[in-house]
Amino acid sequence: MFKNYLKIAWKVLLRHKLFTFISLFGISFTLLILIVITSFIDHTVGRQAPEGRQNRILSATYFRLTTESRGNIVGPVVSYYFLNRYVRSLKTPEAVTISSFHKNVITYKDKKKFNFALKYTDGEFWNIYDFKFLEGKGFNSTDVEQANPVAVITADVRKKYFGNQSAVGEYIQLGENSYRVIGVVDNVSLLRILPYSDVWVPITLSKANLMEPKIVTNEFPGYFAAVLARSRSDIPAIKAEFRKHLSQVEFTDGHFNAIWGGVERYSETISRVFMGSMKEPNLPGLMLVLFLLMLLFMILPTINLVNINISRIMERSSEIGVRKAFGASSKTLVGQFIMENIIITLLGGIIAVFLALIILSIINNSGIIPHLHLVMNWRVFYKSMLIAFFFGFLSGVYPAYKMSRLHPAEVLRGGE
Amino acid sequence: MLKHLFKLIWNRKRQNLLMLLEIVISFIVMFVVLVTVIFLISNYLKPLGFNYKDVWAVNIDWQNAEKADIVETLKQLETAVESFPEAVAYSYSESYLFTPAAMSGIDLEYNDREISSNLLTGDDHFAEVLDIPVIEGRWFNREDNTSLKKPLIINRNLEKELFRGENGLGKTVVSGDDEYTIVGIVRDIRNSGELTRSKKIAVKRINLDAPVDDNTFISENFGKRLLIKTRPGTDARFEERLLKQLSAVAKDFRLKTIRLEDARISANKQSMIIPVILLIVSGFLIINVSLGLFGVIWYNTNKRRAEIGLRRALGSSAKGIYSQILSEALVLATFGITIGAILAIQIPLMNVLSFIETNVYVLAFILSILFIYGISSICALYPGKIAANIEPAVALHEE
Repeated sequence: MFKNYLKIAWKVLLRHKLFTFISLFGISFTLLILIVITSFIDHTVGRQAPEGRQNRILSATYFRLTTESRGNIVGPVVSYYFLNRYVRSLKTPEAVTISSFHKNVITYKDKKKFNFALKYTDGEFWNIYDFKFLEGKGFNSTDVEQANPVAVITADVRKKYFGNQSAVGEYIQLGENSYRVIGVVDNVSLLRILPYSDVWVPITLSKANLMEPKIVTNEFPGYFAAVLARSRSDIPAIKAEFRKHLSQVEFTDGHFNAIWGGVERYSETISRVFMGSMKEPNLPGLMLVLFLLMLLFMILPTINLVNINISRIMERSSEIGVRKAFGASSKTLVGQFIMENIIITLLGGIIAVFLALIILSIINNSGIIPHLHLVMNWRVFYKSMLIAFFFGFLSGVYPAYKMSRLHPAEVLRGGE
Repeated sequence: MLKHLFKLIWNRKRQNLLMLLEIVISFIVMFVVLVTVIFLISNYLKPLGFNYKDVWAVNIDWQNAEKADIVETLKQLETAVESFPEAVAYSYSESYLFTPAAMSGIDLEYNDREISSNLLTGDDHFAEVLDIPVIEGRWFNREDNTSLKKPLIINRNLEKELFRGENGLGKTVVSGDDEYTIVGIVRDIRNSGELTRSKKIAVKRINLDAPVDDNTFISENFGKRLLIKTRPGTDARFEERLLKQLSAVAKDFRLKTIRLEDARISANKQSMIIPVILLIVSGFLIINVSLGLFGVIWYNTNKRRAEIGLRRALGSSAKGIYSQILSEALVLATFGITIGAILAIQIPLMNVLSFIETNVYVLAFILSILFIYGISSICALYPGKIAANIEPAVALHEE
């Protein structure tokens, strides 16, 4: 039976090449755009190295502080001292790291100018994020305590600075400091903003006065903390423990009197920024907005496809009339038509996947975002096919319903 | 004739409903896209309010230096800049120039009205370096050292909102615990770049000679820069020498130089990202819709062979048939545009985007109408031609 449907679907596609082209064009481009967006989202928040343990990692990044006289600040503004006192002291997590965001440093070698991202971090960082080490290893707590001038670099830095030769044991000059390279890791995309950098060095080497007892820091680029939960079920307990810590914050910097923020998933922090003016995370709200935007974008192609489908189906009214007259139920016919439509959408989906591969490599190579590596993995693929299926179903239902209402006698007589 | 066309469309209202819906949504999409594009173009055509040519910015990060040392070093930097013959003028500032994403703000109060404005800062030479014309009053100068209230310079937009048509010069406004006197009014300083809208701007004075403890310039370490205006024709070699000499003076500072002309290019690129994505996506949607309309009109025309054959047999000319198909499409477009217009006009009426001027909306509106009519008639051209070529005898014979 199913094979029969496939055969009919194929024949119908070939019969009206113009309609088929219009349908496929609409379907594949709509899906193409959705696939690119899916890949982007997956690349930003999906589970992949160095955030392979992503479902157990929580972070404290953005905070909102308000002052008595209406002013407020939002962003990566809290100090190392604050994170050390209120996040490092959490008892539930397995590990806590406090690192700086990255900043750009310019360095010269053999008269060539390089611009590298530099991040100050600690030993726990390498246990929480699962970097893929190509050579050597990360620094440990002893290196950080003793402020050893060591550095971990990316493959990209090794290629540019050391000409792709083994770099462990060599020295890299950044600013006035020279660091001994002890590890080389895979490149990290800028969209993975927390682990991202080109060069990582112990946080004790930063010139900043880390333990100055201030909540807010003006130092660029600011600090964040990331924690690793023992298991996913520990996450609510960690969040609750931090909330308790946050309620006990002592405001030593005078004019600030309230603070909002959390140890939470990075996507929750993003939802805080966009949906709740920083006060509360609202991830379901953010997802809903994204979903509505997707529907809004899909509405025009869907109506277009419905329109084409109706024309297509009405042309086959005599076929439908005959089948009805010979006893096919409306249900069977509706099923068949939706099936046909899903087949054509999936066909469009496959074309879209191929087009997406091309577009993704164009975006990756354009260098808009450093080390961007958008890929079509299974996660993206199955999500895209799910979207294609949904799209096919959506655009097939109404025409199929219209078809099922055709009266066989009328149709066979040639009326409408 | 027109009445007849309406009747024809009305009789097939079920079939036409979806086409109508498509036209309505396309109209709204077109309207939004055109408002964006026209808004950007109209921004671009407005004066920037300052001159970025031959100006270099030295971004300063003094990390954890002591306050007293910072002031000392900043003054030494001034002396170092003066030793360059290429440097015509220089000024300290915290203003973000050509960085659309970054901004700082201030809340100002006057007569119980509270207005939030964008905030720039600059010292007494800021206007000279950036060639900012002061249209009323004056720029900051030494007189401000002795005045009790802090001096503030605002732009026309802010004056209009804060003082509602009164002249703002010399008036006192309050922000938090501070009182400010308006000493000057400028037309505009669009520091985020040519493609961004004209905003409300207030400029606070930087005074390095103020007592160290309440000197706002050095109390926070965000976005400090030294702007240097050079003679025309100064090139990158100056930058290299400048950076070397300044770094030698300020050993503990991190210094970075950028030419404002380069910053402007990257700012404009940044402002273009979202409009370009919008254009690509909507372009695809419109192509999609046009193909769909074309297909449906073509199909419908084919189905009406009998009717058209009959019309021909009863004396209608080929040209008449052609124009009938075309005008049917246009009448349908008129319905769509009317509904779309009623919906689209809510955007300016709700006044959520109050910074977009009415004539931007009007122009976008007219262009969207023309565009939809254009698309509809193009989609009907080929089906119309086929219909015109129908031989009455053949068509009636088929029947």
